Amino acid sequence: MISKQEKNIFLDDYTFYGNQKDMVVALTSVIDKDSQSKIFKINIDLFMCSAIVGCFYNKKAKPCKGGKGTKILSGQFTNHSDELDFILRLVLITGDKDKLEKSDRLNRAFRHKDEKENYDLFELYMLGGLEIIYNNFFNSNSIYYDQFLINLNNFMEKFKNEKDVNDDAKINEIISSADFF
Amino acid sequence: MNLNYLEIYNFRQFLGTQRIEFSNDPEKKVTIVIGESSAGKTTIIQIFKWIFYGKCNYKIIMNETQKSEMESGDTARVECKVNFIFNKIEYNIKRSQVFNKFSTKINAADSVLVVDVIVDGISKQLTGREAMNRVREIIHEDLFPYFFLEGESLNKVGKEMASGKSGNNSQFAQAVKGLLGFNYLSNTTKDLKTISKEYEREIEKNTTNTQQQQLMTKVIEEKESIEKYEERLKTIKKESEYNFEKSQEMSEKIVKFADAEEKELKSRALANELNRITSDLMEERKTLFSDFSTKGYMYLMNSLLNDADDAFSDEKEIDKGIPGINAKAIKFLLANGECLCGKKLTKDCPEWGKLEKLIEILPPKSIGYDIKAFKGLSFSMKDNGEKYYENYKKSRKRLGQLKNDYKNKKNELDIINEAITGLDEVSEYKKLALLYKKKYADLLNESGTIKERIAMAENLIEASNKELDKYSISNVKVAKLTKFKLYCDHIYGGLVSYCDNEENLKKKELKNEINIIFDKFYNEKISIDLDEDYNIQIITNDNECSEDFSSGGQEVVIALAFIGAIIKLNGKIKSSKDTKNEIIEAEFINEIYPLIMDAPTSNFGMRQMKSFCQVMPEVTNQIIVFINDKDGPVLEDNMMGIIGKKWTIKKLDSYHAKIEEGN
Repeated sequence: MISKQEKNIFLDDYTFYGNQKDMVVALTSVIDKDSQSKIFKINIDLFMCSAIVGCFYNKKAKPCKGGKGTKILSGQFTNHSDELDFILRLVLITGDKDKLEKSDRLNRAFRHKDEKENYDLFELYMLGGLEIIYNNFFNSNSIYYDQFLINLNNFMEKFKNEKDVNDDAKINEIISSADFF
Repeated sequence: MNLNYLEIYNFRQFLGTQRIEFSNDPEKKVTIVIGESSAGKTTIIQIFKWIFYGKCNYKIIMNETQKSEMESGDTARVECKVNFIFNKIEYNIKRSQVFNKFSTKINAADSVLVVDVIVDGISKQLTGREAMNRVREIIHEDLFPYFFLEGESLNKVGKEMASGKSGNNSQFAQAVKGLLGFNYLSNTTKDLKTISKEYEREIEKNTTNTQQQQLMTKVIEEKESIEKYEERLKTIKKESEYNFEKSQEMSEKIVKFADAEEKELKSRALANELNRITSDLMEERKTLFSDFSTKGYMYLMNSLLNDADDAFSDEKEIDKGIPGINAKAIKFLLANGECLCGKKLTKDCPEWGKLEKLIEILPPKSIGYDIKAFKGLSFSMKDNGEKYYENYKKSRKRLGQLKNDYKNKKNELDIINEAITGLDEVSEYKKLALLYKKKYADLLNESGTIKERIAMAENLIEASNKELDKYSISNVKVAKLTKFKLYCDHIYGGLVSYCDNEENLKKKELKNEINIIFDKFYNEKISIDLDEDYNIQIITNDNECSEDFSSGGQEVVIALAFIGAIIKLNGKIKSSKDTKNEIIEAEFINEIYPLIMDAPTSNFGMRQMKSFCQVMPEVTNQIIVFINDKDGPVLEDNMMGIIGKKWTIKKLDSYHAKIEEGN
């Protein structure tokens, strides 16, 4: 049972506001009319990804307030509850490395996961990650599909291991030999 | 024809009276008129045209300054006069036009042509239609461009001759025939035909016998039919030639598209393939991002999962429970108030607190189970993340290949589509080709039928004439008229045959003369042929020369060669007088025309320029060359010794020019 100090943000609708809302809208809009491609199909996908990215970069951001927002309905959280639970734990295990000992991080991940401050931490990382993702995909050249693809590739590169680096060199060779469509 | 002088009064930039005298010295037959660009050289050729025919290329022939200074009620006059000898007779041909200004509008009266014919010092003035007819006799309007050669029209004339357009102009062919001396004979034969018809009518009138009259009527009718048939045959000839050419043209076009249908099929297949590639490409584009959206996070969390694994290395320290003991067992001990060792447990003893803490870390509050579950999920996430990344790489590779495929197929399709552009028109060409072929075949059939009818009519006429001969003997007047008619027919037949032979001979001579002049320009590498309508056909046998020939100036050479040859031939006709054909040729006007040329050498290279200076003075008695100040010195060098007079047109400003003798 969740105490008064506990707040599970995955049980209610979640709303992005202000600048963060704009970022979410941009990242879930069509970037190529011909193929109807979107960077993220739905907000929940971006939500999960952002939390991981924020934690990876140890980047936090406070939620914006006010104005008209864009929502993730609670139903979406229910549909992705297993993944969300896993990501929440992962964030709690690996986040705040500079502040907490491993044992404390494991304890909060496995014994006190549902405490409010843990969800707050998740939210801070998620919003920090959102900014990183947005800035990665949207720059002055982001008009054509190919530029978005280059941005995606650059983004992935930051997460890949050594084996992937070698494999990708070959792929890039093929990509660069083809003109922009 | 020898031009003596030209007088200009107020014509365009030539304000006041200005005069050019032309050289008539047989040794120095060239007059050159030098002027800078737009000084008024072309205007002078236009002045000749205006004097002769009342036409020129300018809407306004008045001087601009004079025009602007005119006030309401003022009158101005433009007048030009040319003096020349033609057929040993001196002519003054003058045209004037009066302009009146009323209010702000200037009205032009009709121009007036006056021809003074001066024989033995006695002048006879011709005006109106008489004056116009005389001018046309001297130089027909259709021939004017061939003797008064303007720079641009020189090109045009040559082009028309080479392209066969001149021959389409029957007046041109007629005028050429006139220059060659055939119009007189042609008119005489027409007259004889008319006389023969008159006799026929007279014979019919004087025939009293009904059967004889019927035969006469039959003969006349058949002859009229033959005339109509022959006219129709001429038309059929032209029409069938046209239809044959057109059907050939269509066939050639169709041949060009022979493999077009195959290409069209290939084009369609390629277009389908291109659509498929485009569709795949779009799908791949979309998939690349949608996969990232739904599965990408599993790859991105890889590093964090490794960090988590690292954290789990201390898991045992965290889970400090007692193997085999769970929270329930501890709670039991606390409830009994006695430890396993037998020690009494009270809430205030230190052991009580320790055991309570154990409840927190022993199952079910142990985290070991959750960590195990997390690890299992973590393993699955890692695996899925790797799979995702493999697919991502494949997807990117496929996208690159699809782009290349698209590019290659698109290029291939573009090339094929370009090759079959106009395929839609092929069916139209086919229809037209059939149409022209059918028309051509119909015309051939009609021609055959008409020839049969002519033969039948001729047989009928012959038979009727034989019958009529029998009757005519009994009627003295009819017999006499018949005799005259037969005599007339005989002469007509002889003349037509003579004319045909002579014209063919003259045409051969003309062709030879043109080729002689051509040789001098192109060193025998190019020759020409003349068809029956006097069209020129160029025959080039030397590729190198062919390029040289097409590089420019050739139209001018064609025009000059043609005119030069006619002039030369005319001279020959004149010199052959008093021989066996004296009676017929005495009536001809065998006049050597001067050549008046505006910038003829502007498209010439040095070799052509030399040939021009060498050839043209040989063919005529008088040459007047208008030339720009740049080409002037070269022309003078090449014509040194045969320049009789030299004039310069000095451009004073945009609206004024002055003609001066010498430099």
